[in-house]
Order: sequence, then structure tokens, then C-alpha cells
Amino acid sequence: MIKGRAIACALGEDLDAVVRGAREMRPGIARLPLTLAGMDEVRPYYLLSRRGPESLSAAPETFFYEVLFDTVERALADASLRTADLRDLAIFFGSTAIDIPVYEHAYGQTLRETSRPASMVSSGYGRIADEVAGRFGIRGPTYTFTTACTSSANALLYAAAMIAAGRIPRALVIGYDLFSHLGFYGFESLRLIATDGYRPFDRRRSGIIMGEGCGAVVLEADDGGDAGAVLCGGANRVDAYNVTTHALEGGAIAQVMWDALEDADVEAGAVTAIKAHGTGSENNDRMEGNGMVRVFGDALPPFTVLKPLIGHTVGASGVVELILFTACLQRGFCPPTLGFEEADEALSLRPVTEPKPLSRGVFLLNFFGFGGNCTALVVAVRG
Amino acid sequence: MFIHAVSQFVALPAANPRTLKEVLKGYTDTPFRRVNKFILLALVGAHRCVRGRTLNGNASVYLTTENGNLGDTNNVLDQLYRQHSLPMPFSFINTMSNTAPFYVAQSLNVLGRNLSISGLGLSFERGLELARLDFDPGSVEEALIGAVDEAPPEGGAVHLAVEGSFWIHVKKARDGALGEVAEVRSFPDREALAAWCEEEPVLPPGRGLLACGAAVPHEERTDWQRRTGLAVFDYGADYGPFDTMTAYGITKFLETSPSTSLLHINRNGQGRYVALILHRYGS
Repeated sequence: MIKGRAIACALGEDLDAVVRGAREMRPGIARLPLTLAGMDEVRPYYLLSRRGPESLSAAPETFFYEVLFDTVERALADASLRTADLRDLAIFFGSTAIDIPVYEHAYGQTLRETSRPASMVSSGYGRIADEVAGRFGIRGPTYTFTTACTSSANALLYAAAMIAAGRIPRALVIGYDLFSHLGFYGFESLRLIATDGYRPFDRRRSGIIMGEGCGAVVLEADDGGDAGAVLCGGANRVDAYNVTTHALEGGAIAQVMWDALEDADVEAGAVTAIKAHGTGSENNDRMEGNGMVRVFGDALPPFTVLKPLIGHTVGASGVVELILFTACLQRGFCPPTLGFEEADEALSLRPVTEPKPLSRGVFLLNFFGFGGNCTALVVAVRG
Repeated sequence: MFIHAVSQFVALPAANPRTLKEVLKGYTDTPFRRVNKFILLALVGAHRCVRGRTLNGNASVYLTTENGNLGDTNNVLDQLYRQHSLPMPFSFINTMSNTAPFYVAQSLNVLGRNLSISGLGLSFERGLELARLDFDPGSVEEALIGAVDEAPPEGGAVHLAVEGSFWIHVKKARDGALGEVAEVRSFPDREALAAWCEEEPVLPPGRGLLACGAAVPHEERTDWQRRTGLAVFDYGADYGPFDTMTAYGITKFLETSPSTSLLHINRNGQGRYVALILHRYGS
């Protein structure tokens, strides 16, 4: 179960303020220029609420670890762990960009200074988790997941499985992705970034709007009580259709949802609501919509998409969206899909568009990513 | 978790993708387009391990890596910062290290779990640990577990003599296995590992071998040898240090050793330890 949690996203960092922002549907979207690629255009982006206008060019390593350590510190404080418990924590870290925001800056700076930069490479995918461990005196094992947009969802999946198997008493799970030029311009190269608003499942959708986020949760074994949020199971599998897109008929999407429900010992009919992945691309809408219909048929539960509130936080989305979704439910509502107005006739699916009174139940959370990665989590919220 | 096949692929960092594609043709007729060196290293190692056998369609792929894709990431930074252009789309996609296990899964038609996993200095051990977590309850019954790292691009701060791709094919079923991953255990520090070694003999003295990972200092290796009473299996001198060295050592043990057991001890820069115990069966 979730023992402690903290978040940093475009809606803020204080959890009450973040939930209030979700209820009032007040996203903060910046518009960033594409000048590095010589383009005279801007694209929308959900920056962290703490960002100042200068922070994208200022020392990114300092900012990178400030955000990370601050979020983890708040999650640990929320969990009220004793010193001995802290020492034994295992860390599960998930990210798409890992430390690219740090070393791409170094690459650009070296280029300005020498005109022939030395090759810049990651300081090791596992280093960030070990930096967290070093900062907080954690001596448990550290695991880093890099499965694109499912990265921290997979971190959650394995942390929960390891606790359920009795191999570790508790885990710190982190999802973290900051703005990187590589990611921003990379998505632009794929022509995936929306130019005029975020509208998943709407027939007028125009693509993805990226965002940055950091989420940290402390998980422990279920105490069997009547409060809290519990990660009851989940699944991961690959859709081998294509490295950039999933098969439109949604077969693998459906299968991972079935696998997750089976792992959690939950019938499809018992699902209260779904947090869809909902990137806002036409392909995602079709394959996820088809997958949900395969699993639930005519009895599709209410579903919502969180990305129009905070952006697509890519590898961080697993933990960040888990925190946002469960925090809203525990304050009495299912957050709405901001921006949805007109259903796509080919899908005939309508997400939740207003805050929906809901505070407990069993929920399915979907996450999909490049490399055909598919992950679904089942979460019970007890109010 | 029983080991049914292993593979080793060691390459000079100068090996270019065209060379790797030629090597890959020796194992599969599948054409691969828009793939980079990191992905090709993964494919060569995985196909060399499978050698044309058909795997269960639900088999999983666990790819472990210290640094993921290096070459294409550097190319994309060059396109952005030096050429001031948008990255090539597939260069961008291929910066994500999980594209490598994707292509392994696609080419072998295995649709189970598909992960890219790291753990500073202990990536292969972490992959084994997570795979065992899936095997124990039966969530996964067959998998490929690989360690893949390319050497840093030319001009980088670190020079490595080789790069590589090392894989093991594991099943829940023992029939026909050549060995077994019997233990994967994490320790917060050296003292905790020493206490475990002293609780009971990890392997009976004289009945197995001891190997240590690259980051274990020489004097410490001597101490582990004294504590365990095991003969040393030394693979570190073969190529010097490189990122997938543990997987190299494990696969070398499984390919070349007679029927025996191996205790492998590794640590990372923060002093975390992982101990592996493997059994090699007689043929």
C-alpha cells in the first residue's frame, strides 16, 4: 500500500494544491521555441510549477537533483519512516531520459567552448537511484527501469511484486523525467506534438503535449485496513507490431489488461474506473480504445485521461499519474479529461469530462510506450 | 531458474553496424532496418543464444545495461547542437534502450515481459534478481536474460578495449538444462555479505569456484577466497574491464567449466554487494 507520496508537476508540488488544480482544471502550459533546430515556431509544454523562465538554460544538474531530492524527502516524511526502515529501503527508479537533461547541457556548453566537444555519455543509468540512496542513507538494493513511457509503471509493478513476495519490507519508487532538448525535439521530429490544445479521445485531437514530473511513493505490504490505496497487481508485455506504434486492433493492449486483472484476482466487471494512458495521438486513442472495448465490451467503466492536466510526463507518468489519480479519489472525485468535447465517431468513447464523485473502488491504470511496451496496474482505493 | 543455453559476443569498439549485421545473418534471415549498434549487439547475442530454436510465445526478455544506447544518443546531440536540425526520427527512437529488447522479442516472436533494467555496476545481477521474482510464482516460465553495452563513442573520457552482448536462456523446467541460477542475493555492505558467508558454507569448500566482479579490489578477493575456501575462477584478465563483464564471466563459466558450482561476488562503487550462486551440470 502507499505509505507516503510526493509529487512535483505542472499543477504544483503541494498535494492539496495539485488536487485542487485538477478539480478546477487549471493546467499551466508554457510555449517553448524550437530555435535550437533553427525553427521559428513554438510548441506547448507543461513545465514544473517551480520553473522560472531562466531555468531551462541554467545549471541543469543542480536543478535536476534539487527537484529529485526535494520530492523524495517529502515522500519519506509523508511515510514517517524510522531511521532503520529508511536504511533497508529498496529503490525502484523509472525514467525515459535518465540523466540526458544533465549531459546534453554539458555537450552544448563544451561545443560552445571548444567547437569540437568530447563525446558526452550517461554517467550510468543506475547512478541516479544510487545518488538518492547516498543522499538519504538508504542501503537497500536499487533498480532502474528504462522502458520509455512505462518506465516508472514497471518500477511500481516490480516493487509491489517484491513486497508481496516477502523479499523486501518496503520500497521507494520514483518516476522522474525533466525537460530535455533531446526529448522535446525528438517528439517534434516524429510530428507528434500538438499545436493547439490537448484533446485525447476527441475527434479534433492534434497530438501529444509533453510535460515534466517527479513522483515518489513509499510502498509497504497491505495492512488490511479500511483506508489507503493499495497496488494489488499488474502486468507487463510487449506488442511486437512496431517499435513506434502499437497494433490498432488493441490485442496486446487488451491482453496486458487481462493479465493485470488476473494477477490482482479482479474480474473485469469489478473495475470501478480506468485511468487511460491517452497520449492524445490518434494511434493511441484507437489502439487503447479498441483494447478497452475488447476487455470490457458494452460495460466499459468510466475512464479518464490525466495528461491534459500535467502533460505527458513520459517515463515518470507511472508514479506521477498514480499519485495524482489516487490523491483525487481520496479527496472524493475522479479527475476529468480536460479538453475533451467531441467524441470520435470511429470510437464512440467518451471519457469523464467533469470531476466525478468517486472515492473508493478498484481501478485499472494503463501505460504504454515506444518499443511496444505495455503495462497495466490494478489499484484498490479504500477512501 | 534453469539455464538451457548461453552465448557470448565480444566485439572491438570499432566494429561498425554493417559488420554486426553480417554476423547477425549467420543466425537469422530476418532483415533489420533502422537499427543501431546497441540494438544489433543485443540481436547478435540473443540470436546466438537461441540458435534457431523456437521459444514459447509468452517468453520474456530482460535486457540489462549499464549505459544503454550511446552512439545514437551522441548522434542526436550532434544533430541538435552542432547541425541545428531536428533529429532523425529513428535515431531519436533508438536512443531509448528498450528498443533493443523490443527487436529481440519481435524477431523471436516472444510476447511476454519486455524490460530494460540497470543497477549501477550491478545491472546483470539486478536483471537476474527480477527474472527470478517472475519465475518463482510462475508468472514467467521462459526468458532470455542479456547484458548489452557498447563502448563509449570515440573521443569519450573512458576507453574500453571491448564491448559485448552476453545472454542466457532460462526456463522453469529443468529437463535438458546445462545449469541453474540457484541464488541471487543482495547485501547492503561487505559486512552483511561476510556474515552470510559465515552463517553456513555458501558452497562446500573444495566443491566449487569463486569469482569476483571488476569492482572488487584484489585484497578483498583474497579475503573472500580465505573465507569461502573456494578455488578462484578468474575471468577479469581476459579483456580488461568492460561494462558487461559479470555476464561475460558467468557465461564463460557455463560454457567452459566442468560440472561444478560458482559463487560470484560483485559490488558497486557505493559498496552494495550481490552474490550469485550458479550450478553447472555435467553433460
